[in-house]
Amino acid sequence: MNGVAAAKDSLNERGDTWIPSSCALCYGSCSILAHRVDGVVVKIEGNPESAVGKGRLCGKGVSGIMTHYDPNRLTKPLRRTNPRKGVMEDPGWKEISWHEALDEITDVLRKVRQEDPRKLVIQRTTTVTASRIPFQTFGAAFGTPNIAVSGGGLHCGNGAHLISGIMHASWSVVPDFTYCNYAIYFGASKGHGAGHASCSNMRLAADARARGMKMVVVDPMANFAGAKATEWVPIRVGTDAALALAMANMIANEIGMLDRPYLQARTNGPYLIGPDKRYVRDPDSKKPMVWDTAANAARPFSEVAAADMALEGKFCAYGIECEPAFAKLKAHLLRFTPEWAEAVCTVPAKNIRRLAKEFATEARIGSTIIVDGVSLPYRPVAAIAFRGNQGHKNSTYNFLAVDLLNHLVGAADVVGSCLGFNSACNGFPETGRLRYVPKPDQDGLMITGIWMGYHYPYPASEPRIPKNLGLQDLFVMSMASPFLHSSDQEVLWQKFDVPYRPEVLINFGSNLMMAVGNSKVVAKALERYKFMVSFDLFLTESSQFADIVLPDASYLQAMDSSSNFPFIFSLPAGMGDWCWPIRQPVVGLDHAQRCYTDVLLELADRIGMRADLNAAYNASMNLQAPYRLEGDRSYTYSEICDLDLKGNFGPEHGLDWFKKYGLIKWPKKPQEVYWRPFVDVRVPIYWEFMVSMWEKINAICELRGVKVPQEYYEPLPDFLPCHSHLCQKPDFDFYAFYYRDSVHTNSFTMENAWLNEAADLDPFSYNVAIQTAAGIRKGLRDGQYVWVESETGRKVKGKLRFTQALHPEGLGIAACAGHWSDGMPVAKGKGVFFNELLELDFDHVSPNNLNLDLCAKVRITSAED
Amino acid sequence: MWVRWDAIVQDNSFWSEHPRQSQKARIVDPNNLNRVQVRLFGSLNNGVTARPLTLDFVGPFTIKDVIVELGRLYGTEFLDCMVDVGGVLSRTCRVIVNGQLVEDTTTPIVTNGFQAEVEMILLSAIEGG
Repeated sequence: MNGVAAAKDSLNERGDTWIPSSCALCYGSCSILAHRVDGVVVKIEGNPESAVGKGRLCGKGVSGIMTHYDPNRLTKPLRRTNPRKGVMEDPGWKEISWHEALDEITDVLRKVRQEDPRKLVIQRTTTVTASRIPFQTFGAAFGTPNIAVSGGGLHCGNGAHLISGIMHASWSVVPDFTYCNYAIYFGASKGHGAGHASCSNMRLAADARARGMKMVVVDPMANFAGAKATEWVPIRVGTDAALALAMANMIANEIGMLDRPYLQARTNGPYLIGPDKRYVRDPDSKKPMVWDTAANAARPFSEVAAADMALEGKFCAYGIECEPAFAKLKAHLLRFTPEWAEAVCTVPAKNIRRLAKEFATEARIGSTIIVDGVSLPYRPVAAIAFRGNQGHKNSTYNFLAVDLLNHLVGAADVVGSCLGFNSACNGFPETGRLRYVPKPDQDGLMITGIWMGYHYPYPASEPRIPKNLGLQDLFVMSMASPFLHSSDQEVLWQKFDVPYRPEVLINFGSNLMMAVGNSKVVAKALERYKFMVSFDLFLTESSQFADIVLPDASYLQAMDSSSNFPFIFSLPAGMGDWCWPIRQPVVGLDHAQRCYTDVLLELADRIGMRADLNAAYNASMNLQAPYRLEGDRSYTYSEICDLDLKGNFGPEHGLDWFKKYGLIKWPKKPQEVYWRPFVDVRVPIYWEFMVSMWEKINAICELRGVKVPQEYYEPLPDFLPCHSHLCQKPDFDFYAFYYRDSVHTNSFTMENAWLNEAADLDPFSYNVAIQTAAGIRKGLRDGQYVWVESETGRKVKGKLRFTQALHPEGLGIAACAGHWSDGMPVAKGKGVFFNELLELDFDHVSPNNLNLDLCAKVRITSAED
Repeated sequence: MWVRWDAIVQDNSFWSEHPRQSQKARIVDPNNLNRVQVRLFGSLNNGVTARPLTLDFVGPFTIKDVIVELGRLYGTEFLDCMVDVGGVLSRTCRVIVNGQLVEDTTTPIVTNGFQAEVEMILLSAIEGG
C-alpha cells in the first residue's frame, strides 16, 4: 500500500473521533471539530480551543456536512463535446480520466506559457482563503500577473481594504468589543454572522451589547446588524459619506471635541499644505514641513516634538503661503452641514448633530486605562464600515469619511476604539517568525506591516501604461478589477495598447457568471477564452463555459497549513490569543475527486516549471533553510505544509503535530493589540498623494481618450453621487441594493440543503424587500410577483415582501441567488439574481479604486399580468 | 484625568528590531573578484537562456548592482518589472540572497570565498476578498 492509499484508508477507518480543522463555508475560516463515525462525518461544531471562532459556529458552518455529502457533487473530470459556448449551449459533457484531462491542460498551458504567459488568467473564489498561496505561487511561477478573485474584492474590498490598510495597517476594521462603549456601523456586519472573524465577532459583539455597548447601525435596512442595534439609522442607499462628513464637521467645528495630541503625533494633520494642495517640503531633506510653535518657524516634521506642531493657523514657509493639513480639513468640512446632509442622505439634521455629539462625548478624549499592566489611551468609540458603505462609485471617500470620525477623536487602534485586525504581531515567541509591524515611509506615513497580497495600499505604485488586463498597474489604488469581464474591456485594452489578450482561464470555485455583474456581459467575456478549465464542487453557471471541469475535494478532504493567515484577515482583533489553525482531511477522497493543491503541483511538473513553483513558494511563504524547497524537486502539498509549519513554529511543530492538535496559540500583548502609541507612524487625514497620482494617471488616460474625473482624486473626502442618485426617470423611485444574508455565502451555499431550507423559512432570503408604506403607496401588495427593472433596462423577477425595517426608497435583495444551472438542483430557481441589474463597465466603477457600483435605481412593475 | 495621547508611552522598546531575525544577507567580504549566481524565476526568466546566470563583480557589490547588470543584459522592459519609477524595488519582486529575503537593495553582498546565490521572482500583485 503506498502512502497516499494508506492515508486515504486511515481517513475512512471505523471508529469514533473528533478531528480539529477549519471551516470553508465562508472566508471566515473558523476553527471546527468534525465528528467522524466509521468514516462518515456526522456533526461539525466550533472548536473552543481556537481563537478563530471561539468555539462558535454559524448556520453555514454547521451545515457544511451537507455540502460535502451533496449527491450533486462532481465525481469525475468532464470534457465538453460542444465547441460552442454560451448560456443556452449544452456543453455535452463527457467523462474523461484525470490522465486525459491533465494531458490536454498541460498541452494548452505549455503552449501559452511559451507564447506569452500573461495570456493565462487565474480566477479563484475568496471563500477558500487558503487557496490564495497555491494559486498566487502557480501564477508567479507561470509568469502571469493576471490573478483575480471573482466578485469578492470587486464588490467588497477595493475601498474597505484599501483604507483599512492605509489608516489601520489591516485588511478590515472592527470595534474593540471588549472595551468599546459606542460603536457606529455604516453598512457593516461585523458581529452578525458574516464577514471577517465572523463567529468570533458574533460572540464578542453579543457580549459587548450585554455589557452595555451602544450599537448604532446606519443602514438602509434593519436586518442582521440593525435588528440587534441599540439604534437603527435608516439612510438613503449609498449616501453614507454625506452623513459621516456632516458628523465630522460637527465634531471638528461645532462640538470641538478633538484629540489634538493624537492628531499632532499620529496623523499628517500638522503637515503644511501649500496652494498647490501639496506638502511644503524642506528643500534639503524633502521632508514635509510642520510649523514649530516653539521655534515659530517651519521645520521638517521629524525634527519637531509633536506637542509643538501647529494644527491650525496660516503660515509662510520659504515664501509659500501654507496651512496645516488639519486646518485644511477643518475648513473643508464646513460645507457639510447637517441640513445639507439631510437632503442627501435623509437622516434628520437634529439626529446627525446628536449622533456626532454622542460619538465625541463617548470617546472620553484624554482618558487612559491599564490593560495587563500597561497604561494606554482609552477611546471607547468606533466608527466602522464595510460592504454596504463602500460598494459604490464613491467607495474611497465613503469609507474614508467614516474613518475620519475615529481619527478626529483619537479612536484608532487604542483601547476601546476602532481596531485594525491584528495590525502588528511580535511573532511566535519560540522562533521569532511571523513578526510584522507597520513602519513609516520617508514622509512619516504608515506602511502596513503585512498584507494579503503584494500590492500594498500605501505607498501606491507609480501609475504606468498598463500591462495587466485588470489595469491595476494604471489605477494603482485598486486591487480587484472589473475589466476581466467588463463590456468595455476590449475598448480599454485597445486604448492602452495592452499587447496581448486573455486566452486561457483557470477557474477555482468562483461562479463568475453570478458573482461579478450582469450575466450577459460576463458570458461574452467567458466565451472569448480559447480554453477554460474549472475546479468545481458542482456544475455551476460558470463551469458551463469550461472546456474541462475538474472535480475538486471539499474542505473536509483538504489540507492547508495556514487556513487563517495573515492574521489581519480573520483572526479576531482585540486582546486574546494569536492562533494558527490548520485545515486537514477529515475524510478521504471519493470517486475521482482530487484536491486542487495536488493538481497544481502535478501540472507544474508536467509543464516543467517545478523549480519556478518551488521558488515562488519559498518567496511567498518566506521559507528559510532548512525548510526551503530545493531546486526542481517534486514535493507533495503535505510536504510543503510540513515545511511551512516547521519553519514558523520549530521542528517539533510539523504537520503531524498540527494534525493531532489542530492549532497553535500564544497570548497577545497589549503592545501588539494597541500598537498605535508604540509605533512611530502617522496616517493621512489629508491624502496629499492623490494630487500627483491623478496627474500621472490622467496624463496616461487623457491622451487615449479616457476621462478620469479629478474629483475622485482630491486629498479630502467628498460625497460624490452614484448613477442611481442622478437618475431622473419617472417611476424609477427605488434604490436597489443587495445585502449579505447571514445564512448564505455569495452564490455558493444555495446548493446546501439545510441552508436552502433555512432560507426558505426566512421571509426575505429569497424575496424582494421593500418598505410596507412605500409598497402600499405604489399600489403593490405583500407576496406579489414583480419585475424589478434598472434604468438601463435590465430586469429580474421576484416576490415582494413588505417590512417596516427598510428605508422608504430602498429595495433589498439578499445574497447572490437565482441559480439556473441544472448542476445545482437545490439552488436552481431559488431567490433573486441581484447582480443581473448591475452594469459592468468603466462608467460604473470608481475611477479611483475600480470598485463596482452596487446600487441601481429601479422601478417595480407587476409580473402577474 | 486628561492625559496627552503621546505622553502615555515613552521610550518603549517593545518594537525595537527583533534580534532573532536578520533581514540582511550574511556578508563577508573579499576584495577581489566576486561571483554571484543569479536564478530568475517565473516571468523574470522569460527570454533568459541560462539558469543560473553567473555574474562577476570586482570589489564590493550590492543587490542594486546585480539588478543594474541584469538590466544591462536584458533591457529596460526587464528592469521595469523589477523596479518602480525612481529605481525602488517593486513590491512584487522578491530577492533572496543566500536563502534569506532581502528588502534593502543597498545591502552589500559578500561571498567570503564562495559564490553568493541570488534568487529573484515576481509574485502576483492582485488580491481581494
